[in-house]
Amino acid sequence: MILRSKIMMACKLLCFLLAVVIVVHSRGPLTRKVSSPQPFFPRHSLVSDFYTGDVAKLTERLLGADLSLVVYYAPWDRDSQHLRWEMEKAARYHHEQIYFAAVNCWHPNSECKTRYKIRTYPAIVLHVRSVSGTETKALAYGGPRDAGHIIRFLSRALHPLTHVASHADLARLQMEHNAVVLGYYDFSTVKQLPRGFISYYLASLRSLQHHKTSAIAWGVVTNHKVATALSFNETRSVHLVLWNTTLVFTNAASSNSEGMSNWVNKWVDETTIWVDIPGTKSMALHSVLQKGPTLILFTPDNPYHTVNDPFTVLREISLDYSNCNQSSRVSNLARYLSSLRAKSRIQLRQAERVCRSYLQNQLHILHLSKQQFNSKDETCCGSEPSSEAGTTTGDQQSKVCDMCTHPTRTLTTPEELCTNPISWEEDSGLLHHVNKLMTVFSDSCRHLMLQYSPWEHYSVCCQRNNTLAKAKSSYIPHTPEKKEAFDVGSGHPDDRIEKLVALAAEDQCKRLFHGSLVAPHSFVKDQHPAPDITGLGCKTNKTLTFVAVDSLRHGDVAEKLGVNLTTREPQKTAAVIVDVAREAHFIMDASLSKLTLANFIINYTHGLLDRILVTGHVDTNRCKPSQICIQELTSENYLKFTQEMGKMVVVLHYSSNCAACTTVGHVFMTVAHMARHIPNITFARINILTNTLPWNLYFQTLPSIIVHPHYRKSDSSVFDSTLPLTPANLMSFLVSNLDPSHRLSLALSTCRDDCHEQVVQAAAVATTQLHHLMTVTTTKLQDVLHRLVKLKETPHEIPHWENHYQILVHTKHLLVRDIKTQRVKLNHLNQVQKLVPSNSNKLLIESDLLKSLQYIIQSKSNSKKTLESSTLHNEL
Amino acid sequence: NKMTFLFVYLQVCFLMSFSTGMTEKERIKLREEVRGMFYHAYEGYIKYAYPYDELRPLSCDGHDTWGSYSLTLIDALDTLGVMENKTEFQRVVELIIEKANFDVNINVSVFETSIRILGGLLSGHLMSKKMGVDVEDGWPCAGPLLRISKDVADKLLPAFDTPTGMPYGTVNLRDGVPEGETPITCTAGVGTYIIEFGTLSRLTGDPVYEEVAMRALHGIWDHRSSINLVGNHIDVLTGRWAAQDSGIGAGIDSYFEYLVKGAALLQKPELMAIFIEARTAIDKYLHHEDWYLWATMTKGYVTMAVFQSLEAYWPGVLALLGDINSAQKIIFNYHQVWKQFGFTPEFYNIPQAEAPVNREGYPLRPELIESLMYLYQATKDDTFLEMGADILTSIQHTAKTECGYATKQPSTCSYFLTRRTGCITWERQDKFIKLALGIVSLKLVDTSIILKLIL
Repeated sequence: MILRSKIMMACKLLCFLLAVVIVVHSRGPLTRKVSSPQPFFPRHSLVSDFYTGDVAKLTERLLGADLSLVVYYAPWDRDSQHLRWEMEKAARYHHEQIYFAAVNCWHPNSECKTRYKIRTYPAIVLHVRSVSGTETKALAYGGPRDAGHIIRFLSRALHPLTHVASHADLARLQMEHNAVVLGYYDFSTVKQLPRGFISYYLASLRSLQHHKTSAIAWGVVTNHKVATALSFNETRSVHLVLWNTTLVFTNAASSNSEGMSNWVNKWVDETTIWVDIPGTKSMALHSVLQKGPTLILFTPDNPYHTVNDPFTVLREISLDYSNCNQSSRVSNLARYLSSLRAKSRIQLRQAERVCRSYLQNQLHILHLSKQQFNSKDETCCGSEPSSEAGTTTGDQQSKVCDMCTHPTRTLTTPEELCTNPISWEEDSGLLHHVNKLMTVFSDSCRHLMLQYSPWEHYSVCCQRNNTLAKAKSSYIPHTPEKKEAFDVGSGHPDDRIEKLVALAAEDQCKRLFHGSLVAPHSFVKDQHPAPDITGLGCKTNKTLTFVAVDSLRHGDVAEKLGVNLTTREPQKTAAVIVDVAREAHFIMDASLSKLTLANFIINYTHGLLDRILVTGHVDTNRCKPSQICIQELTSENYLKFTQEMGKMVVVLHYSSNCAACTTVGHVFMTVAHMARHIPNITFARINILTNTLPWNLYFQTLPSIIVHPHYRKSDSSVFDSTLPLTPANLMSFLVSNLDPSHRLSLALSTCRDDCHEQVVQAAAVATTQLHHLMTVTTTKLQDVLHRLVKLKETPHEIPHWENHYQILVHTKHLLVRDIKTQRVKLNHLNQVQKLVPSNSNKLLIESDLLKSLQYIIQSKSNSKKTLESSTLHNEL
Repeated sequence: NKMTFLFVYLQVCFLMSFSTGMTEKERIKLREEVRGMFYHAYEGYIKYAYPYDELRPLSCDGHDTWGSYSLTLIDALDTLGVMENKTEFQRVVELIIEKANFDVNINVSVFETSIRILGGLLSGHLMSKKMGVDVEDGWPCAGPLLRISKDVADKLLPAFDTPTGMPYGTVNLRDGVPEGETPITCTAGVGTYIIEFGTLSRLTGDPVYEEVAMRALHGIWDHRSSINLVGNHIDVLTGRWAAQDSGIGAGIDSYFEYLVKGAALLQKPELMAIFIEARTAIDKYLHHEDWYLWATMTKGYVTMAVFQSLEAYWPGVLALLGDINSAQKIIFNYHQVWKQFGFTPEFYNIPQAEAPVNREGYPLRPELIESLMYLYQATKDDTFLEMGADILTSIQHTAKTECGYATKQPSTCSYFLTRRTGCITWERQDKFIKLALGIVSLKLVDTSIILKLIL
């Protein structure tokens, strides 16, 4: 182990330091020359690695194969590094038909670098050898860079054309594809290929670039009778069979491949399309959505599967929906699709049956390898005889050294990889899955590593090294295991036709297995007939566009729309209508079937659906009672929470993507802290990036603070965004929204040491004033009593005696009452002075204080009356 | 005129979202890779270069680039905090306090001193408590690091004593502005103080720092052209523009950055108002297909169709503003450049899609990864995490040396370090790593830490 890791380390250093030319400056090297190019692919990879960027040599090899797939990579590029293993997997699958190569197109001064300018590494290019064999035609592959999709692309590139021998063939193509291009080429009259056929062939390859998801089939008619039946007038003419019509390309005979594919692209009309989101800058989805309301079907696009049941349902629906003039051609097509779905289910069952015995053999082998895996990392490969001589860095340890020169990630140290692989147990779920499934592997560890991404992590140490040494042996076509693999349907390997049949059978099983690893087949359950939606699209001004999005690769899009794909039936399938213009979207609740989808569309058309408010995930952190906490709201609980009677809720509307929101938190917290003693007030916030709210709660600027008051919920008010958001401003905003009793308790709770002193002082002053006032009132009372006595002594002599008397009695009553209230006030003031602690050590009895102060407030309003009475008195 | 943040419903989720997602395991792995990068560089410095200012990553020795302050330690301080390495943080704080002496007769760049020394000291000061340093009473308004910061800032203040309020580019730490110092300062050199100076003012209670920084910011804006563009270099004595090329990159960059960050940090709507006005003009004259070109400040005629590595901060600023849509579109362009070269070259000719000879270097600039960090934090879209991982992978592949990370110069097929790039190497790699960490959601870093801590 130690020796191995040391060597690994040495190799790692080589990556950086090998062939380093150091320019010596006065105090040390200032520049370092770039190291010489290193092999990027494993030494015995099925992919030829031109790591020096030697294009001339590559071209030579390209001319030796009909089809070649070439990766132009840069060694530092992460995607290139990942692509390596995907290429290996793809090469495992197709290396017998296609030549796989990789060329370092970054290394400075290399031929590739000087000749080509690669804008984004890695570039994947399919080279098609011309008929003359002197040049190749390059077609860039822009699809997903995983083995499955590359394999699908290559399988199609191997068979871009389909022979149409009868009308039924055309019908079948029409069912499986959105559109069919038909070319009539007469092979009987000439010995050579018919003129224009090459262009047609190349155009079909070209269309693979544009239509990554087999939307268009390219058929060839060779039989004159069939051609006439399909209304072809002459050879070399091209038709485009669409869902509702058939177009004729008049310039077909004189067009080159580009002209042909341009014509097809221009006229192709599909009721349903797959939208591919490429992973680079793209407006693919955006441009579709801008056109109008769109129904998006999220469904797994498993590259190994040929049928996609949910997508076919969508096609059926979309055909009916767009069938405005009740065309029987369209409705028939939709009906056929229905039967096709039923048939494909049966076919799948059959395939599973056919493959079973064959796969069981492989399962046994897998078990063996797994056992070897588990026992010890060395044994896994150690039992395999190495057919290759050691590599340059050490004979017995050849595995190790190869590992070093081609690490998947330059970052991880060899030790880390060997001693701390991601544990077996962690992947046990996947292993279990793998175990349950059948396998087409032969016994090599390498296969495991390359076919299963989950195993890559684990098996780095033992296989990657080992593979290099023993890879060749397992690829010799007639190893016993391989032979077993071909024993499916036939025992006569010399027979070419039977061998082809066997190969096809093997391919089917392979696909079945690989496909099930990616995602299971999803089938739609159709129990009830669907309502008729024929021509609905033309009867409404909310006409839908139908698109499908691969939920395996773009599940996050669905997630952002608030769809939880994991709970869906069939798996990972969901339908969403998005209406960008109305800024609303709708999710279909029911599990997908033709019935539910049709109902969903009808309900949408009639405006019966509710806008979906996306809800962010809820933070489960409960805060302790002693803490000040800001509750995190979601669109789900927002209304319930804020509309509760008797509770005032202050909500900060923020978004995780605005900088200004990050600096208001402390203001909000401070105010929450200050207001913590106000009863029934809650501070909350909501991230409107992940939560959609009804329109009345939508703000143009963020952060926004809204107050939902205690009782009059309709009187919610928003903090004036032109004011600076400071604790003082926010506080006064809050206070202005409080009712008097809450205002008072707030005033109290914000009162601290300094404030207390002031209160005590004010109370002292008020006491003195009250004493004074009482003296004054008492004097007045005495005066009034005195005058009353006098008045009684001289009855009826003074004019208006009655009036005088009544006024004096009234004043007396008022004065007595004043004195009473003043006494009460005095009493409460004394209480306040007692309750308010003169130093901060004493505990403040809030409720008592509150009570006292409420009295004071009340008596204050009384004192107003006192004032009135005294003026009355003065008038006298 | 409160800061306005546009929020466009739906488009946020539809425009571009590609990532197939990253598992928690991958995320942690990335984070640990970044941590490894930091310690590789930091330990390289401690082992080979301490107590010099900087490490030279190819020869593996140290040299003084500024004074003898072990400058790298100040730079690395807050990163240690982000790494939550308390013991090392405390050790470095003690070292800095012990060694700090800025009463020396050397000329320094006002700009660099502010962003590096002042910024480093202030964030270190604010992180002290969390890092278990025994803070004195009155923290965060008192403390040794704060006093050192104040001392440094005081030595920079003489540069601001000009008729326009815009500072000189260079100042002598002992004698103020040197005799015969050129009054020509680049726009960024005038307008990149508000975050550090504002923080200092708020912490010490002395308003002078914030005032001079604000005056300098307004100084630039007051001299804008009739179409609201600002030039590249300005005479701080007369207010005449010395270089009239207007863009968002070199020479101007951090002026815009600090407008937004200053507005957010110090809650200054007036700065946001300036930025929004400036951005309107930029979008009108410089913005083409999600690239930003260079144009004359007076008429807005395009002069150069280049993208500069420094410009990569722009999408981050837009993300802070809330304009995620524009930010995403722009960063996809920049990321494409990265994918073409393995770094963002200093100059990138947009129409020809290549880097001019001798302009292909890459001094480990942190701008792109900073923008990615903001975008990731704003959207939590793994696409940006993947882009960040792309950057890490290529840096690790090509720039890593035995004792640190070197700048790149692929035009000559070599990595090089001049005195100048050597001088910024640590800072770049350090900030780079800090930001990379932010992107793998360990913590928000840098200014955001200050943002969070200041009341």
